[in-house]
Amino acid sequence: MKLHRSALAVAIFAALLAPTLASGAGYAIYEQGAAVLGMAGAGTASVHDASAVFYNPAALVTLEGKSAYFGGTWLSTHNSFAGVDPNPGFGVTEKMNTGNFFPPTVYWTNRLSNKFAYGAGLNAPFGLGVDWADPETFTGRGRVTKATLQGVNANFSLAYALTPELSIGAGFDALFAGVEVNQIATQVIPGGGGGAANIAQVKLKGGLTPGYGFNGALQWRPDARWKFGAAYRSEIVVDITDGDATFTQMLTGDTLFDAVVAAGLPPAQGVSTTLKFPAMVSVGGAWSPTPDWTWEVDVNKTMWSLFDELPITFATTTSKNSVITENYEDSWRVSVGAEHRLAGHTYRFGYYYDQEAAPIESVTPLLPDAPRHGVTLGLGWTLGAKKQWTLDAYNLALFVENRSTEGQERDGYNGTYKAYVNGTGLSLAYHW
Amino acid sequence: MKKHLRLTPILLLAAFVAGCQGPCDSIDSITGPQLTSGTADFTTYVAAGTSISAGYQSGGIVDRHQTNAFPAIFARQIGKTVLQNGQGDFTFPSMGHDGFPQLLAIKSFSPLIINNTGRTLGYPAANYNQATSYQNLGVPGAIAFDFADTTRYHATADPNMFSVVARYRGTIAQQMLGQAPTFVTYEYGANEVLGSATSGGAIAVFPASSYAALLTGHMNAIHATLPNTKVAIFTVPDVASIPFCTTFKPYTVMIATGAVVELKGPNGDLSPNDLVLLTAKDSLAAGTGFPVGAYNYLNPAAPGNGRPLTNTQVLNVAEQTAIRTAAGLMNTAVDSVATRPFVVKVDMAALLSSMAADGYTVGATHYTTSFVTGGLFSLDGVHPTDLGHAILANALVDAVNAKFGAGVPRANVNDYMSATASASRPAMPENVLPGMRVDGLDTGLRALFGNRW
Repeated sequence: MKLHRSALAVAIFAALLAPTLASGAGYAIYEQGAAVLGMAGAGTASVHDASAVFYNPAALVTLEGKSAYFGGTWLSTHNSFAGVDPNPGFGVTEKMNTGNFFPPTVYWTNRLSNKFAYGAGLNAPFGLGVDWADPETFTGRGRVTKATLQGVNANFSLAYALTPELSIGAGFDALFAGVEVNQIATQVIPGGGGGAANIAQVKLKGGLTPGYGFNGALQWRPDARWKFGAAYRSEIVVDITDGDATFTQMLTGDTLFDAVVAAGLPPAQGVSTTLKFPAMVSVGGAWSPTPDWTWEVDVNKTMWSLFDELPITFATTTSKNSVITENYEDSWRVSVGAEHRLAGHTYRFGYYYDQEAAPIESVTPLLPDAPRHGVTLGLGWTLGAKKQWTLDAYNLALFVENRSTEGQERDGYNGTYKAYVNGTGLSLAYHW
Repeated sequence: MKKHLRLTPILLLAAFVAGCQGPCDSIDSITGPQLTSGTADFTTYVAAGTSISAGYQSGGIVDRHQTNAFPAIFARQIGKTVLQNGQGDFTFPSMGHDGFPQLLAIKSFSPLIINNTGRTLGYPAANYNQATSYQNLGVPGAIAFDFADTTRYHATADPNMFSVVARYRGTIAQQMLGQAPTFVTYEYGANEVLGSATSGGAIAVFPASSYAALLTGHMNAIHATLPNTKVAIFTVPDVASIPFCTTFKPYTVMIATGAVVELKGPNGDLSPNDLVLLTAKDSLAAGTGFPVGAYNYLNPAAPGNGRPLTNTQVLNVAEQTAIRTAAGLMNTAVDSVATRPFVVKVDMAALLSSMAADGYTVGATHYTTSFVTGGLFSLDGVHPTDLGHAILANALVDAVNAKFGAGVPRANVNDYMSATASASRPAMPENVLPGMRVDGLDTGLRALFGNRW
């Protein structure tokens, strides 16, 4: 009970402090463990620390004793956009404010016997952080100026060894999701030459709301050289019904127009939406040709086709209800990583390719999804007299391919997006 | 020593992060494609046409909007210099002040008052004495007949736009061909049907067969004189879908019962598809056209008086049919001529239909063909705004590129969203003379505004 209460406190803490961003396809975040990330996330088969709670709960039975794990990644994002005609036009460039995000991870594992283990974790497997610079003149301000999506997952999993070589795991996920979208409403200046003016700041905000899902996993260790793993996390749908919508008028300086806008401005009111977090399945194979080397290849599929639309439903002004079509497609991710355990430290490296999930029409200033190439480098140390401390660090250089909307964006906002993400992560675990 | 070795990789990582170049830099802007002309030649461009070509909007022509008429935008896209004073290499009769006639302006939203009271009449000061013909020979009110015939030039009512544009220098055709243009836009046809539409059918539609003959004859004449010149021609839009015709509904409700009831026209109750024209505004505001006891949606203070609207205030279904039939025949003629290798069709009719049905979205701003609030039509309810012109210019660009294998860059529509269609709106004076005054439209306007974004 005490653990439960403190875990809840951490969840709230994490939620408050964790504006997050997508560094995987769509709004997924794969940065959930420094050691596995050193191997580019290829850890479904070989994970051997407490981040097994996320990567493969069936591996929990291979972790001796108890462990407590605290980690985090500093993600620094660089996003920009260059427009084309007819909208927003050639020569137009936009950029996001450089983002700094710290999605945290906390895990706890306990092996009760050779056959039973459990683990609990808190992490942020989904998130989005968008913050376009100079919002009042940003050419995509009608859609979004600033947005955050938080998905803080509390997870409890059990692992059971069917045989010494084969174990299974299953667990329960409670995903607390919150969202905030800011945009600037523009309106045609009446009787004008077609000019539009900023008339209101629109803020749609939904507080953290839980959705529930489950996970299952398998790990097979046929001999000392080979490990295979599979993990599945179910989709989670979160209905946010108690969001707040506020409309703050922006005066244009034209009193005639402002008076009409004021008369037509909707009141502050409730807003609801449905956030969809897709299922993920990962399979991996790890090979240790010698006791000090491990190589792993993982394939991950995320069922992004779940994210078909984003409804926005107002409590009072129903005429403003909208459904943003997304029509995402399932996406694949392939990762290859290696770990070399030396006497003083361990080093790791890896590469992953993450396919885009958004179709070309849905590449928007809210979610400029694109294919990504991640290159990682990791280091690990075992510390303490009894080797009870483990410190891992990694760096991810995430090269996001420039993605053009090819003139097909749904709202006619066309151009090319560029992004780069650097992630630096650290974790500290204590075993006893 | 050993500890230092352990820190080295971390320092390397930190250096990597701090020194991020290239991937961390913002994207370079994208420049538009370079102009290519394909089989067309854009050395000399001359535009002939109607008020649309002239850049007439909100009831007049003024330099600020003449520079954004679709021929001017197209000229800019093919590398010409278009200047507000009408000079540069795409010249036109530049009108200063508040336009010729003075442009309409919104004086008040509640009640909606639109007029040009107190505005200064413009005149073609900058280049009226230009020694050569203008490149933009668009004349408000012109029909295809006027292209090569001066009969109507000096017979039309004041203000006589022919004297401003043609300046007694010969026919439009002569002035065009005299410049030996390599590319021509020929935009006629709208006025052949517009007169009928805006007069509620009182003016007959110009015979479609005559238009067809004129069109064919003019194309032959241009081709005979300038065999290498390419010509863009325009289909005739459905003028019954412009705000002038669609703003007022032909029905209302009974105050007592809420039952839907038709407005009254010259021949009894209107049908649901009859169009009440903008010119009925004063009658409607007084309660005319509304049955006794009916809600006056324009001016609730004046409930229906039971008197009928006049014939010129209503475009009934039969009149609409006559207009559409004529426009259809005219467009058949356009299609026929457009099969010739030197002629390209710009489907203005399809463009307007699409706008009327679905509007037009730029970013998250949605534009419609609604009067005053829609953003695509100016305050006269007939002529497009600068943005409407930019969209039309892009249709021209697309058609030219497709037919002649050219690479004319499309215009950036954002550059044509001017703040107003009538220069700046003056502050509302206390005693506004009842010019084009529409009292009580504010409630309806608010409803329109409420759904804009």
